Amino acid sequence: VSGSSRTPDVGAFRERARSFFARAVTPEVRRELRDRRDEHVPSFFSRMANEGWISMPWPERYGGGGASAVENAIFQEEAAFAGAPTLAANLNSIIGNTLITVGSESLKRSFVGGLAAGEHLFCLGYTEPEAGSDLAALRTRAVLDGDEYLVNGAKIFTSLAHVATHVFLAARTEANGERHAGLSVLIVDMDSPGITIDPVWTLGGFRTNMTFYDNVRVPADRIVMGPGQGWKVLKVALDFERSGTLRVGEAARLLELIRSEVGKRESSPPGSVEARRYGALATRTRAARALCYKVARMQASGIVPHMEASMAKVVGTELVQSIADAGLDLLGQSALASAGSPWAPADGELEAEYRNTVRFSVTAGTNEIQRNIIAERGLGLPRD
Amino acid sequence: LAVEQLSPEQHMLRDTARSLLETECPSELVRSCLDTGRMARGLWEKLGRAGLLGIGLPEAIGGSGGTVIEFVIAAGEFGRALAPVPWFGTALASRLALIAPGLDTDAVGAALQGRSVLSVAIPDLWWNPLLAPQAEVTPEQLTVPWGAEADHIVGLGGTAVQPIVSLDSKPYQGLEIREYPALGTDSYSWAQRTAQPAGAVPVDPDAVRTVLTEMRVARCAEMMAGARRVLEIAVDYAKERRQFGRPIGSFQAVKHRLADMATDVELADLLVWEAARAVATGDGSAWEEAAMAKALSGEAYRRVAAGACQVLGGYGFMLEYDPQLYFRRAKQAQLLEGSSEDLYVAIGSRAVGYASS
Repeated sequence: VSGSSRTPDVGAFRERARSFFARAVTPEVRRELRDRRDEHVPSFFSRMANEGWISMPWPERYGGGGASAVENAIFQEEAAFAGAPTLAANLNSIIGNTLITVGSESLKRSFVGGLAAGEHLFCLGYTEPEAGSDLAALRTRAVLDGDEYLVNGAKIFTSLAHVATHVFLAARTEANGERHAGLSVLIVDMDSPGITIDPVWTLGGFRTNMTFYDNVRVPADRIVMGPGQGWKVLKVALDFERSGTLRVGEAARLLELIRSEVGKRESSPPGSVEARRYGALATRTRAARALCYKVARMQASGIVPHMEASMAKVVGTELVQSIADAGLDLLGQSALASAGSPWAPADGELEAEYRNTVRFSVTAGTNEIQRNIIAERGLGLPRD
Repeated sequence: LAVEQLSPEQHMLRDTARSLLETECPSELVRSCLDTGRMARGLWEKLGRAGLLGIGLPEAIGGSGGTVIEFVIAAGEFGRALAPVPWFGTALASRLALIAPGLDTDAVGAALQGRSVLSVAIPDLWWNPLLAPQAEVTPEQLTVPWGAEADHIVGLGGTAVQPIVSLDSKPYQGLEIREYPALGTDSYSWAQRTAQPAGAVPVDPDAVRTVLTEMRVARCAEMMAGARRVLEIAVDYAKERRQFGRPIGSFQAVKHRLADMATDVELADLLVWEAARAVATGDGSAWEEAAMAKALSGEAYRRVAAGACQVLGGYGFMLEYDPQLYFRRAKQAQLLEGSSEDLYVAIGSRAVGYASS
């Protein structure tokens, strides 16, 4: 990762982020990440909280670092380049920013400080077995019973639910409301009676979860923005989730792994075929990076980059998949070996990423949904 | 620098060039030049009088002043209109003549004002970043842009460490030019160099590199503006054309293809502007950035033009419609001044430790 940050302030921020990850992503952290298999390393999460990185993009009057969208993009890029386990910190950061933007004073008082300090750990309860891309079709119900909601339903892909203190839960509160109009978001304690968590194991080797809600009682003041406002809340949260630089940092990290492993290849020296494939991916990585920073610049100047953010998502996710694929092709049979095998190049990291990157074109809005957004919002093509 | 960061003057230059070309260079003109194989003489003179041919070159030798950014803007407008005139060869020949001490530059001024035509005879290898420093670059076959129309031809030869530049006037000595039909909208002649022209002068290799980089970025800008135009044609058509009782642009199969085309354009365009900035600031990475931009924008232009042909269905391959013109031009421009394939090999070679022999 180099270049692009041409103003001195932004350059200093990148140095700060890079030096933090250089210190904090220790061999122990990497080992724990691999052994736990849930994308979470508690000690690393605490360290991010203690050094102020969770609240880094929040406004200063809420104790945040006041970092700009461009700085946040740099932070995500450096995190991915270092292979840092930032999932939990990112979720806390997004929820905190969402509450600061649309939450009541009482919710802010109850949660913002704890999110920054890492005392709370939030997971997202959006997707359901029958509601993926069509999120507005979700069926989990929250019915008002006195001053509490009674929640019933099931969620899938509730990553980190097994370590979370709270879930940011999307549920249907208006029985007769139209698809979007009947949705609300509730903050639910994970230790509430009636919640059960089942692990779900994924191709990338990481754990996610199914979560079941059976007559779970939630205080009525835990609703964000009010009944029927859920769709708005989700959109605010999604807009904070749009940094494409995570994938670009990862692309750069994988290219570097490939570069160093191809150099060690003994069977046959690299030729023009290898050079061509690598050159095309390095070029595309550079272009994807330029696109992500364009998105960040637009965000920083108050423009919502609908089309560009969707483009960055498609390009970045498909790029890391292509790079992982190229890594295996260029290293050949030995690259099939997983971590722990004496033959595994880069200790199996490319093999693991070949499996892991599959999900990125699905999660956070499938690439098909993104292409619809590009075509409809960007090019003005008619909805179907 | 990105396109949204252009100054008001730069926007004005773009608007002026665009409106002149929209009036003076309709696609009928491109089509008729393709039929005859001749350049559009009248358009050439008008562009010269409007000062659009000398952008980025000093006024003292007949240029219009301005930086590489203005030059890139003008190149984009030539590309959008597929202007069938020798702007590229003339711009490149002028820049090479200017770095050659003692070479007569009178011919340059006349060409920049649209009164004559310059072309170049440059072995393709000069555009390859893997060119070995000591290799004598004197192959027999050369491609010469609008060679049959040229009044003067500037040649680049010698080696990468000791290049030489020559200026030849009709009738050429040691350079035989022949025309054959070919794919692109711009006419390229095949030339054979049988002897080095008299009066060739040695030039600074770094200066040659700077000129080639600037011209490569101009080619990129030409391609991306062409790609944007043919994308517009396809999107407009998808909104209008109805089949099965609805606009074809409402079908996801069409929508997703157009989304990918728009993404291709956006991505490559960003690299082109980054490369233009690197050239403008004299950044040491300009050569590599320009190579990346050329490789990616060539690929993008081809894909977008081919996609437009598909979206327009039967109209996509009828000569009366415009996508076929962009389809021709895209491949031609992709292969000129270093093909995407060659450039990708060059870009990746250092990383994977491959050295061409």
